[in-house]
Order: sequence, then C-alpha cells, then structure tokens
Amino acid sequence: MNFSLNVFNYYNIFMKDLRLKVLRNERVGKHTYLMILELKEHIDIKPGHFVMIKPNDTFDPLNRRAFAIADVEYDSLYIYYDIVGKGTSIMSSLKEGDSVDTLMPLGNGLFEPSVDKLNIVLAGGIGISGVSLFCKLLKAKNLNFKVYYGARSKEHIVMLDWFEKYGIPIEIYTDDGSFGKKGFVTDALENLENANIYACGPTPMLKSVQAISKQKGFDSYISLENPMACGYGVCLGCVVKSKNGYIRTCVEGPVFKSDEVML
Amino acid sequence: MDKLEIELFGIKFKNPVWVASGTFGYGVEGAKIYDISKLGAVVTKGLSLRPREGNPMPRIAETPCGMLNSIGLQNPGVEAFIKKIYPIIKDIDTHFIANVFGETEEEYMEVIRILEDVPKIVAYELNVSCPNVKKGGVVFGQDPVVLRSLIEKIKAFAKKPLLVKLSPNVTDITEFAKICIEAKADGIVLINTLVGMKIDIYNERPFLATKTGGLSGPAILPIAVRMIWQTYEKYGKAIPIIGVGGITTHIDALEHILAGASAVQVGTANFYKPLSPLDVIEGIKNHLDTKNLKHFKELIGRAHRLDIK
Repeated sequence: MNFSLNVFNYYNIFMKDLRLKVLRNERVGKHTYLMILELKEHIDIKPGHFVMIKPNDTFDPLNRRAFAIADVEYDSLYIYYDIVGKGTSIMSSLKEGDSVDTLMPLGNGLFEPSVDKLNIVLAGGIGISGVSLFCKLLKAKNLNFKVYYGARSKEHIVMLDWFEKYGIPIEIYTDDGSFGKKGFVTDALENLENANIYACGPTPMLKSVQAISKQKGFDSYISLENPMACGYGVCLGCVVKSKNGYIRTCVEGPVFKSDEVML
Repeated sequence: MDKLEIELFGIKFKNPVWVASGTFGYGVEGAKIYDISKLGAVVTKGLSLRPREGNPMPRIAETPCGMLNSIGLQNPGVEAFIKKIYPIIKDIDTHFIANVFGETEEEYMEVIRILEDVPKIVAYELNVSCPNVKKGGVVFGQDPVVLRSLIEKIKAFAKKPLLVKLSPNVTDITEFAKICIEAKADGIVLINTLVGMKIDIYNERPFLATKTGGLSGPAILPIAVRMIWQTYEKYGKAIPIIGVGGITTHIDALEHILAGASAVQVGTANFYKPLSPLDVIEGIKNHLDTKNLKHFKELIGRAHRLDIK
C-alpha cells in the first residue's frame, strides 16, 4: 500500500468496507430488532465505535445508516436497531444468509472509563446498545460502575438477556412505571456525588445530563446519534456546534465531553 | 501506455476517475479506507480565504435516489489547509486539485495566489456554482458578465490550469461554457448540484435549515449527461469537459465519457459506496478489454458520431 507515514499517524484507526452476511435478524422489542452479522476477520472495535450499514443495493434509500456496535463476540457483530424509516424498515426484512454493506470501525471520540471514580452509565431507549460494549469493558477491568437504563415502557425494553449473560446488574426506569422505577433515567443522578457520567440516548436526555453535570461538576461524556450521510468525515452533514465551531459527530465523536458540545 | 492515462491541460493523470469536491474532504479520510493514490485526482473540499463555519443543521436530507445538502462551504480556510492538512497528504502519489471559493473577486484571487506555491495542487477548480451560500458561489456562475471578469482576472496571473465548475441551474449551460472558453479557462466541470427542496410533513416546514439545498446522487445522472452532451456538441473541440453528477458505477462514468467528458468525478457515491471510484476504474478497464479498445480516449464524445454530417 502506498500510504504516507503521515496518513498512518493522523488517527490510529483504519476503516474497512466489508460486505457481511446476516446470521440472525429478529424482533426483540416493540420497535427494536437485533441483527447479528458474520465477521470473518478481526476488527479492533472499542466502546463508542459505530458502523455504517446499507441494507440493499438500490438507491432508495441512498445512504448507509449509522448504528452503535452493541457487542462483538468471536465472529459475530451485534446491532440493535429501532425501525424509524425506510432504511431500517428494509433492514428489518432481511433474512439469514442475506448480506449488507458495512463500513467500520468509525469514530475517534470513544468511551474511556475512570479508574478511580465511580463510572455511571446512562442509557435511554435504543441508546442501550451504544453503552453495552462499554459496560462489558468496565466489567472486564473490574472497575467501579453502575448502569441505569430508561425506556418508554416495559415492551420497549431490550438487551436484558445480554446484561444477564455478562452478569452486569442494571437498574431500569420507565416513563409509565410499567417496569422498574417510574421516572426518567436521569433521576439516578440526583443523589450522586463525585462520579463520571457516560450517556447515550435521545437529545432531551443528553441535554438533561449536560445540565446536571454542569451543576454538580461531573465529568460527563455523551454519545450523539446525528443522522449521517457518509459516517467517515467527508460529507459534513452530521456536525454539532462546539466552542470551536461545527465539528463532526462521526470523526471527532460520536462520544464528546458533555461541556464541549451545544445540543 | 496505460489504457486509462490521459493528459489534460498539460498535466498527466494516471486515469480519468477523480473524486468530486465536497464528497472526499481533503483526502485524509478516504486514505484510511483505501489506497487513494489509485485515483486520477482528488478535488478538495472548497477552500476560502478565511475559515467558514458553514450552515446551521439540518444540512442534509435524503430524497428519492438522491440527497440534498446545504453544508455552506464549511472549511478551515486556505492557510489552515496548508499548515495542518497539506503535510498529511503531500506525499500521496496522486494529483490534488483545489476547489476555490470566494465571496468577492479579490477573495477568489487571493486564495489562488496562496495556492500557487503549493506543489501538490496541480490545478484549480473554480467554484462558481455552490447554491448554498448567500454571497459568492452561484452568484458568479449565473451572471455571464461577472463570470467572464472573474476568469479573465485569474487567468491573467495564475500559473496553474483553471477549471470552472458550472451551475446546472441556468437556462442554457452552453452560454456559460462559451464564456469559459472565451475567457481562456483550461477546462469546464459539469455539473454542480441542482437546487431542490424537501418539506418535513410532521413539523410542516422546510426540512433543511437553509430551506433549499443542492440535489446530488444517482437522480441527477441524466441531467449531467445531457448537459455534457449539449456542451460537447457545441464546444467539444475547444475545451476539455470533466463530467460529474450521479456516477456510482463504470456504466454511469462511460455515459459521461461517451457524451463528451474527458475525465469524470465520483461524488455522492463516496458516501454510500466508498470504494465506488476503484470499481469505476476497474469497470472502465474491463469495458475497454471487452470492446477491444486500445485507450479510453477513443470513447470520449463517441456517442455523437452518428450526428456528425
């Protein structure tokens, strides 16, 4: 390969454009599906990384869609996704043996655990699949951490089997109280002191994390999910406002220090 | 000689497949996916004299077989490009063409003056067709008098070839091509995006923050081919045409070439199919073999041959 050394050193990761086989694709929640893709080579996936997926070869929808990587196991890549539009709807119709185009690992802003403070992981909705790999890391490193997960109601809750499998305790909040505690997942931050917060979920939840963190002086990290056209830094369609102007969610993120970005 | 090698405006390109401005950054990101030295050239994201923040969000929207964008030429400015980005790309073995943008004639000229001493930049692509900025851009590209003056002023001092990327949002593209030829531009690039719009039916308002945006992607392929055809028909002998618009596969690229393009740029496909430019290169090669042709140049404008009396 004819890369210059400079290009190698610019960022540490390289991205791969791979066509992967669907091993499993099934409904696991009210609007949520789990897709397992077959990985035939090792890819260095870290907590926070995401993948772009195109479910078919047609031009409608045109672009790939961004998904959190929920887990990597031997030769399997786990993607949990909500059906929100045309792309995810087509994705949900895929069967075992079909294949999809992927680009990964993507993102440079990743989740880095604190070794001395309590690590608080907050997930809202499908954001649970954006923090699961991080939880696995916290558990593997035997660090001090707690996981809180908020969903609209009982039928929207997913991945509990996964957390059980890895022996990771998780506390649940639902908007309507149909499962776990009634309330928002950010309620978990109320009586907390001296912790690092790691959050992934809808924008109102992340805004709330920003506000509480500012008030309590927490070091917080939020994972954003802006719509993207390319996922690797060339379209400038997924930018977020920061102190230094617009920065790319896909390259500088998707995980940002919460006081770095304006939502 | 390689079947795909071509010399245009005094520069040798290893092949006629380039990547389009605004769809490939400055090459740094693409170089993390594949060996970009395989490309004929990289056309940079638009460079302006001062940093530009770009437009507010949302900036992109998908439409049937295409997408709208209104990025607003976000870029770090030409000086920051030279200091921070150029050192990363300067050893990559392909040509870089700087897409140049200004709000005034003076700004365009100043950016070019600064880039004159940057060895890796082999040519300029004049951005007079961006539909997403309030000042500059398409304001220059839709006014024949203003366009002529700008090209003439740049040609008076610029040592490197000047390509002009034209707007398709005009009644007769060939009028503007004529101005480029008369003002001694070295090539024309056809086409930039078409102005379009999407409405958010739930919030009952335009989807994009700037209301309108530029349509790109497979949806615009036949429009690009038509405009290349019309321009080549009138001025094919006078100036090289670079085709851009809707290219994903070698088939799309060959349509551009047969209509009259001497080289092509892959644009939006870089988003949904990052390896597309490499597939286009391979596909053209295979097509030449299948048709038993010695060089792709034999195909430039070839679809016109039955019209020649």
